[in-house]
Amino acid sequence: MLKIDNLEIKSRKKRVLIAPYAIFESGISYLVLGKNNSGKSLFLKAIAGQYKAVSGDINWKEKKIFSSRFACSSIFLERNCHLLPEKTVWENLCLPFSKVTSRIKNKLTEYCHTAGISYNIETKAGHLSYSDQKFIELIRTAVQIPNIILLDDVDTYFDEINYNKALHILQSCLKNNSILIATSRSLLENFHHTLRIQNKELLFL
Amino acid sequence: MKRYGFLLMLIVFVIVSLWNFSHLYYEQKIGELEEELSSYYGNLSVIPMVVFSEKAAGLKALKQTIEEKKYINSITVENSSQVTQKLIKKYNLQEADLLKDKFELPNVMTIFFHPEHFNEENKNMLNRLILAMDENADINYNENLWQEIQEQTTSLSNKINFYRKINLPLHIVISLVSIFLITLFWVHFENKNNNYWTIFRKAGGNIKIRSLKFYSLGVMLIFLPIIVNILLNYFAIQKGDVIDFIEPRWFCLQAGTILFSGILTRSILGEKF
Repeated sequence: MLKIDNLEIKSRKKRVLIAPYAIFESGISYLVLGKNNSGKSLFLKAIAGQYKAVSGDINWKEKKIFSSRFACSSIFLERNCHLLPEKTVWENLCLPFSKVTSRIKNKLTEYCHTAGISYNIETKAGHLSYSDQKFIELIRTAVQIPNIILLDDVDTYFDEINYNKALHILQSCLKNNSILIATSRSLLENFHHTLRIQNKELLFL
Repeated sequence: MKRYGFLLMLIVFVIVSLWNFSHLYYEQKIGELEEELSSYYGNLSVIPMVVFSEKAAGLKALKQTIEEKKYINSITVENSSQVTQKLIKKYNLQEADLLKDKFELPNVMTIFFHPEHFNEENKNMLNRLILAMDENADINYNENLWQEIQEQTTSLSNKINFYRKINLPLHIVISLVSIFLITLFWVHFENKNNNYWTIFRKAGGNIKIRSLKFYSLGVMLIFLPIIVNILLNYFAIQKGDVIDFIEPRWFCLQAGTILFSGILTRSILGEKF
């Protein structure tokens, strides 16, 4: 369970966002809605521990989020792709794993098939389209089953068909008690809860 | 990434090998000079100083005074009758035996030296002692050869001393240059890998893996090139190209150099890990 208490995010000493109180339950997906520059990405970065200009508490299982090796159990997918363009799709998929077990191999193959990129497995990642590149990131994230998956601007990656494929892949993580927090500018279907950033405040709808 | 590790290993290996090669060359050079020096000393040690004197007791007393000196190898004193008998025997002069009472030969002192200790000062001192004992004593010594060899050996000794003196500073300079080069390449290669590690982390990879890889590479860099060099040294000795093993302390210095480069690299890279 991720608990946010009186969280205040600042940028250049100005308050960008305040989240008075929020609880994110394991196995549940959350969509954070907000306009451009509303602080959606900073909110995700703050949870991932990549943005430090924050006050208040972010707790994971009643402990301060940065006091443990929390960064390892959350994966933040930013808007731009983080792949090795000269490596193949398969090499990029296997990148975070020190050892590719048969379970991982099977999962990666299954998700690649679901995403429709299995025929490109030996292609260099840099040659793929943006959405396919995002699928690579998504698949390797899903296979790791982190405690928290953070997706920034999820509406910009995929069209409707691919969006459904992506959610299907992420379903297995939710079944394994991961928390999914995604941000978007427009309302999307199939999320358990929706939050909105309004007047610099994070509100549950 | 593996390519950079291999390149770094190659660079460290080349540095360590050049270092050892120069050390062996240097040791060999000193060995040659020492051999040359001992050959000069060998030539000089077979040339005795022969002192002729009428005073047999004086020669014996002088022998007792100087025989403990460092520069003395051996001293023999023969009195006039011993000398006469020796000459008669050596040159088959049995007829001259009848005349021996008419002519008295001088007593003879023969001195062999340890040439490495027999310097100008000792020579002058010995001359003074001999003349003090008997001012008419006849000192017979190949001065010209001694002078010539003395000049050569002094020059050679100075050269050897100089080489021995600069040995440690030279190693320290090589060590510092090696630290600079290894650190430079290591930091450069690590920076080249930054993009990979950023993506690795963003992909959810274990943040400790980079440190782990860095340290395991460091351990390999410390041990592998040195072990290979020890083996090369061993095979060179077997083959007869090299006479001696490189002293372990120099290998320790090399290992220390690589270790220090690793620490320096780690501290330069700092937060990137």
